[in-house]
Amino acid sequence: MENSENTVIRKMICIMCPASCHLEITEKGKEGEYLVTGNRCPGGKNYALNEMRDPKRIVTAVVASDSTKIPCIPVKTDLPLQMDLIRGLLQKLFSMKIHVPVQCGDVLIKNYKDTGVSVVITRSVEE
Amino acid sequence: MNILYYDCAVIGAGAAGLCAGARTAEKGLKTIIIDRESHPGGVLLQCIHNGFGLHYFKEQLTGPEYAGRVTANALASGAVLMMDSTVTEIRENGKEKLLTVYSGKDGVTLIHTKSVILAMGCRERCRGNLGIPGDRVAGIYTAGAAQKLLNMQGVLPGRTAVIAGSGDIGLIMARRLSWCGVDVKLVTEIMPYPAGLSRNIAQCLEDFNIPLRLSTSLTGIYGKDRVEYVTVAPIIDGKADHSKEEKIFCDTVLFSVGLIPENELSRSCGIKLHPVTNGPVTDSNSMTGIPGIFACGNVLHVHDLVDFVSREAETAADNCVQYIAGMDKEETENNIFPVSPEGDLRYCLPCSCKKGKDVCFYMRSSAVRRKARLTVSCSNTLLAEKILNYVKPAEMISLTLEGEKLCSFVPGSKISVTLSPVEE
Repeated sequence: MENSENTVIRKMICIMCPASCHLEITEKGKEGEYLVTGNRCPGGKNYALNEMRDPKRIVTAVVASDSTKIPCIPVKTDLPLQMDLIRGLLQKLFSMKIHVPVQCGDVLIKNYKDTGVSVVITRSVEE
Repeated sequence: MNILYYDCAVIGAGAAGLCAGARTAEKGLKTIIIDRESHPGGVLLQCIHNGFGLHYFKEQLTGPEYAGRVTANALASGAVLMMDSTVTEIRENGKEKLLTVYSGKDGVTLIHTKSVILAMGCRERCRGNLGIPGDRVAGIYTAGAAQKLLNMQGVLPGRTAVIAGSGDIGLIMARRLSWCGVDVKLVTEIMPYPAGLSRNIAQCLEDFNIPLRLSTSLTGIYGKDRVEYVTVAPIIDGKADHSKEEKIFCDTVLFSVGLIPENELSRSCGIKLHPVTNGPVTDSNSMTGIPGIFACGNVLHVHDLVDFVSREAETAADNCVQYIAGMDKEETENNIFPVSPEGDLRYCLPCSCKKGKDVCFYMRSSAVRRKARLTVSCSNTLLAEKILNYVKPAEMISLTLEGEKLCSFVPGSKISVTLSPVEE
């Protein structure tokens, strides 16, 4: 498997967990096929391959609410979202207002732009 | 004045306090958790980003989600939560402790308790701590204060920002501000290596092309009424080189320059503090110098992961339960082994350990190493060993030592925990 003759085409730090593995990616044979080293778990390999092909991030933000006690309610995407769609999603979130009560896990936006990514509330607010 | 009686009083309802209180209550201690804020969860509530709980809950959670879960656990365990209340004094009263608590709603409450778990967390260092010269103008925040404004109140702290210090909260805020349309011009760090986790450098700075200047000092903050510009200079031979000073225009400065355990209460009741961690000196029972007072979480030493805080809190809670049950009563001083951090280690907790009791050591390196060897030894005998990759001061190291390994040694012998570089 190991082929030291291939040159490392990209180095990156895995963001999947705080272990922050230092990953090295080498091109394997034909274009678009990569070999990942330095990862301590399978998650690191997946992360590196996604970074090479279609980088995505979990997006978190706060949305205004009509609660008398908690003016901002935190939200997150349930799955990583393509990086070029993040700005648009944030614009949309900034213009919204949440009506309380809400529960942690409630879906605020379902299947954003057909990406399969939804925005969920991350804090229960009663009033 | 109200008078209450408890087996265990936990001070602070953040991750450490909620996890400790849930555990003591589960194990049958009548427990109260006291916090000055209105909502339990501590700093987690303003940490809306994800990345919490991978070890403790085996999934990626945001701060508010983690807070929600540990709060629910605490409530389910039967622990009482006393919010909007500030503990102003801890006193020893024979074997029990007396807590003076003040709240706007109930006035003064006196709590009689058999044990206390300190879980007050930590504070941010600020401009005043660093003595940065210049003008006293609006627009200067600690990273956590700006985070609270933005995430709890929905207030944008400024339009263009410079972040001094590369601590994790500063890095997280660089991303958060960028996503809110703020132009983050620069992050400066006086050390030659970043203070935050590597993953935060990657996802919070590199994703947004925010430059990080290492070995660089923020030398001044200037403006009239509001910040107008800052000056930065490279550090050469340990000193800022003012001849190479550069102006950077911005209206906001965030400080992310380290955290200090909040130990005013501990100090005032006579608990001995550690010169390096600024938290209490504890033994392998998580106990401070005063019997019956335990400490866990960021009040003990600053952690980088809340998961470790939760684990440490549960250990402290278990030790508290054991203390009350009197199981350790027959133990005497001569079963104690002092622990000494050596080599590259800046500190190692706990400061002592006991025969027959498993202990998890938490420590930090003072140097950056590609590869290092961590050893635990007693009287020149190796007890445990671990090889570590990418050791850095920003990332805490932990190692568990089985208590039975100490059985053949004479109590009082020094246990050396040593971190040394490995040449490749």
